[in-house]
Amino acid sequence: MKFAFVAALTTAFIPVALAAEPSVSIQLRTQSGLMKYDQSSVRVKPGQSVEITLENTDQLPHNLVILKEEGVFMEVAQKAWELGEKGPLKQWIPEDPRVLAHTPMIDPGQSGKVTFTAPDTEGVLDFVCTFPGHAMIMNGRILVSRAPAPALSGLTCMVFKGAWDTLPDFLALPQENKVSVDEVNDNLISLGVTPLRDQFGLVFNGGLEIPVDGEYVFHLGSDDGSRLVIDDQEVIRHDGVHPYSEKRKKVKLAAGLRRVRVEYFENGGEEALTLAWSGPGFDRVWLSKDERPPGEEFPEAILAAADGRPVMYRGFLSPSGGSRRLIAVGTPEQLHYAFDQDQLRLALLWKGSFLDAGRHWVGRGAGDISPLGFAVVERPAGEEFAVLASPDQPWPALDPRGRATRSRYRGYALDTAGAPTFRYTLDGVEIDDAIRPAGRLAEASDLLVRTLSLRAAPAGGTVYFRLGASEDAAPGAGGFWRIGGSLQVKVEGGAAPVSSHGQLLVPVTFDQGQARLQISYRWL
Amino acid sequence: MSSRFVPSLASLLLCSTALADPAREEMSYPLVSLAMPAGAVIEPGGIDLLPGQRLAVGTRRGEVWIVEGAYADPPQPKWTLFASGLHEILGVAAAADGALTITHRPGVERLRDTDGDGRADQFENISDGWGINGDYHEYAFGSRPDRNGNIWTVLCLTGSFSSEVPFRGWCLQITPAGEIIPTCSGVRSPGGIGPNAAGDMFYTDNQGPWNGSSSLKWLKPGGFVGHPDGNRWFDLAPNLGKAPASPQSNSRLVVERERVPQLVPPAVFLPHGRLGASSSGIAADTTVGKFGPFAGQMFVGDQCYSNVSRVFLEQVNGLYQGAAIMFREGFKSGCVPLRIDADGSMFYGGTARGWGSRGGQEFSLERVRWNGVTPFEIHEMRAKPDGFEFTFTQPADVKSLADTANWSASAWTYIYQSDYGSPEVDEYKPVIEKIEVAADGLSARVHVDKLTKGHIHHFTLSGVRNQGGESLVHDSAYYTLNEIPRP
Repeated sequence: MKFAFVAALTTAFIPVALAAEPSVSIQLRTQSGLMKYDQSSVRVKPGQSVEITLENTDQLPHNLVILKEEGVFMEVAQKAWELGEKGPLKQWIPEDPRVLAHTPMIDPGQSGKVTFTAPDTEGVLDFVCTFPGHAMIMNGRILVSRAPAPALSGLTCMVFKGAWDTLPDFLALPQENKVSVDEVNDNLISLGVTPLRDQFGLVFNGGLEIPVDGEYVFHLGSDDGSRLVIDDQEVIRHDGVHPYSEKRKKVKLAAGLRRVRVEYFENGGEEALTLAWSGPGFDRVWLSKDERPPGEEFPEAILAAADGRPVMYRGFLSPSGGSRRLIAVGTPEQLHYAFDQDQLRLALLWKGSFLDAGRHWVGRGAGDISPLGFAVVERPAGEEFAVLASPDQPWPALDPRGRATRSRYRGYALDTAGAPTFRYTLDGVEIDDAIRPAGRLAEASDLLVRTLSLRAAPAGGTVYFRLGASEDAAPGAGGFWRIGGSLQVKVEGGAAPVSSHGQLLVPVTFDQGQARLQISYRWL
Repeated sequence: MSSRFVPSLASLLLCSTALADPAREEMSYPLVSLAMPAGAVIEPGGIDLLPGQRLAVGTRRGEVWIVEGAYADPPQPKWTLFASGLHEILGVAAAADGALTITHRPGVERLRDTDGDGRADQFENISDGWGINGDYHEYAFGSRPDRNGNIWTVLCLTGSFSSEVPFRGWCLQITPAGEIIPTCSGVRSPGGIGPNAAGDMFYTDNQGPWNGSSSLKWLKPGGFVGHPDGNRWFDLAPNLGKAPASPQSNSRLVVERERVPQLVPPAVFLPHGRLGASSSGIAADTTVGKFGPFAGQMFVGDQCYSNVSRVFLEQVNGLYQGAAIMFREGFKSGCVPLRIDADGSMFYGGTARGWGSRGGQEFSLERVRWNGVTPFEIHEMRAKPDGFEFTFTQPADVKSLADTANWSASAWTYIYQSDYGSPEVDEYKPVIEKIEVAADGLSARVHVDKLTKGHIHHFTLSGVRNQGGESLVHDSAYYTLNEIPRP
């Protein structure tokens, strides 16, 4: 059995390109805001006619220059730089014998093509953007090789059932958790090995032929948790309950056959598992049936509270309810929230890990990041306080750009522990808004408690606080109302909530120009 | 024969002089790096000066650091984190009462340390009244307060190409009370903002649509500075009246100035590929000589070439114009903020992230200080009705100065167009007909056969020597001739 397995691998690597190779078309893109091509290496065969189309989705002009050698791209780019003011006329292409072929400069939103014949011998070529300043990061390799891209072999899959929040020790699980063990004929990792969709786990085992000694990058994506083990060494741990995301790791591997194990679990909701790898001369070869667009990959920059002080972050965050000014607060208790400077409301609540700012701290930092943890609750858009003549009046709408029309953000102050109290005004009423954890993550009693202090009653009308939409006629145990399906809230202070247009509104009662509400948010 | 030979010799000299000798710059303006805490990523976006020879450095990661020991020789920088959690800080202004006003992506905020523990604890919103739609390119650069206490901001276009939310592509003044004064439209992709020595506000804009080359532009209140996409917000700026007419693409600035009277042309181009590729921070020399012989002039950084150019400005027929000359090369990362202290120290914040820079470092804080050695440089270059007047920081050798063979001139302009950038066009070589030299060798009056309004007039003084036989440290000057003075 084992002998046959090795023999099959060997067969797969015999060069077969004796006749003229059919031509190949390759699609490359520039990545918006990153100054990078979307692939750092592509694979062609010796003597092959190659056509590469570059689609420029960045906001700067770029070109694509193919060089005849490897490791010379900076020297050639430097010669382009020295063209100086003549550069634009020459498309930033220097006169250099190492240039094999090139596109012209391609403006943002445009595409361009370059065609060439790959050398007749195996080897590696550079490609690069020679526009001044770009080459250092905007480059890649073309591997000229007869060998097909390597894949898994002899893949098997064990299926388990069970409910987990983190990866269990699968091999130690009792018999009643085991469902099946099967060969995977197409040697691709896939959730198709089982009809189970919730509360299950998988362990894939297979062989992977490492073509040459070198550095390899593995890309493991999952919803929920997963890990990658090579020759009994853990390479990537992507554990916990989380939406689909990818983790990657660069490892040095010696040539030869390695044992690969991928463990995975799915608790509930959507599920996905992907694995790809990149190495000398190949980029993101899929080892799974499911292929996800690479997205952009960023080194991790995990933000977390430190020294008992919260951490705050104001980079673009999603989901945002249309706001572009969320102020995220990560607490040592691992109960996090985002306050909305545009709409003056509590926008998001979540638990566990806070944020990964990697996307924002690499390149130009394009795009939004999302809460890194779990139990993410998105609160409805709109101002939370309004002054109304009667509760039946419609709630004030946001302006066309999703910003508050009545309330105005004034800033925040940090207490001695570094926790913020937000301040805003509404029709002359000053509001202080302090959101603090009570309890910690993994305690049964964890919640966020929000203290709202109001000064100066409005000249006319009543101040209402919008608690949220509830289908309940009365609060449940402990005085908590269920709102929005995933959250329950308790209100202290103010008059009894009234229902209006499907929303629970709390009338704020002032005493000598002061009022106080305390709202407790508990995850369901 | 000679007519074929001379131009190629001239271009040879141009190539060699374009790469100035950093060793000669170093002889008058030594450059040092200020070490940062191990492991910290400090990408400066704004620098201001604090009492006690301390600096406040705002960063692209939204932090504010206080630096002590930056003035020591050698520097012994000690870094303390003052604030964090802000969003891409591109302006820092210290007030006398200890507050720091920062300009970051969402707005202008005033930071205070009220309990004296060395960390900001109040983050007061002064104004967040401009739009942001989530695009990374919507940078906001902020000045230090002007004489009225207003912070001037320049707001990059969405994606640097269009204005998708209010006031992208505008200069707004923010008063201390948080009122917004719309001041100029036409901004594209700024790299820095600051006043000249007279207190008029300038910013740098980058090569791209409607910008043939990077340049230094005057923020004349009510002016339109070139890129029309932001003009859609004039209904939000009733103080400025009607929107300017749209300029025609594939034209010239001098032509469109006739059609669009509000169009204020760049005061000085920093010719693309010659002095840099991405103009950034601005600092005026108000040191009255502490920073050397250039009192009253301006300095402009470059994010791509990691250098600093010097700009001499004058006003002709109501417009600013003047000359750009290389000042200092060899910084370790791409310039964003630039600040000069009264003692003659220039602080330079470098960041390469996202665009790439010369120098090899991802980020830096560097210092240039005049050491008292006067370099042999072109001091000023003034427009005259039929040429230019040059002055020098040291007496030139009169014979070398008077010899037209030691001078060369060329002139060109850029296409004013909606496409990205422009080649140099309409080029010709003005003939130097006569040079009148002052007896003291400190000035020369150059007469040429033809000046062209709107052209950059480039003079290379490759053969001029001082009395010690040395060439100029930088022998090229680029004069943007918006207006030709009347005789």
